[in-house]
Amino acid sequence: MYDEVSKFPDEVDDLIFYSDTSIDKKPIADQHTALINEGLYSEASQLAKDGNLDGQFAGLYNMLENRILALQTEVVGKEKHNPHYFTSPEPSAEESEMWVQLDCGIHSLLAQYPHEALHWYTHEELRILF
Amino acid sequence: MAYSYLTHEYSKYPDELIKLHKFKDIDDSIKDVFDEYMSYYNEGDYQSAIAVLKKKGVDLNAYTVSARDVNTIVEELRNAQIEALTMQQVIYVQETEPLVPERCDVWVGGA
Repeated sequence: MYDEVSKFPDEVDDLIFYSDTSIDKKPIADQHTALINEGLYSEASQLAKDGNLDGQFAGLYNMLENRILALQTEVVGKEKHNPHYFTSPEPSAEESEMWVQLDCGIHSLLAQYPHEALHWYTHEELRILF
Repeated sequence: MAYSYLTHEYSKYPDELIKLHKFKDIDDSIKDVFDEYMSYYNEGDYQSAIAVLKKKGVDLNAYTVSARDVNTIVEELRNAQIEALTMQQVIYVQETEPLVPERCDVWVGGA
């Protein structure tokens, strides 16, 4: 009924459609209840699988737990990615990473002034001024 | 966006991975034990019902899903989501200090 084994991370697991008992499934649901009431548990379980009956069955919860385990295993094994460098010396950054140079003399000086006092100047003019 | 904390009411992730229950549907292999258990249970004789399970060495947890099990599933999934979000550096541009910045995250603001 459900594929209890997770395909993650090789593939994203299939979306399932969990349904309340619909009119077309009602005869199967009724038959399932009758088998349970007769104590015919294995037959009931098999009927639920063959008839794609949704319910509080073991397969549903095993599927959920297996998917969570696969996700947790994948995430816990990964290292945190830090694409932004806030350093004084230039870092050995990779492509698409960003470096913000700290302790830059001009930046420290300009930080004393409000934005309104500086926004008429180009970056190059500020560099000459200071 | 409010920062979401890991919680550990039921889940120990990321220190430990989820423990699989290996749930089972009731089948003929446990039929006799289950029927005896249910007969006591339906009579309201819970002590005898539990005693049947103990005597036969049956763990009913594999055959039932409790609220605790559902809460565990939800918390395990939520913790995994939070952990996944912290796998990449976050730049906080805000006046107030981030509640739980992770190592190597950056906070710009607070002047």
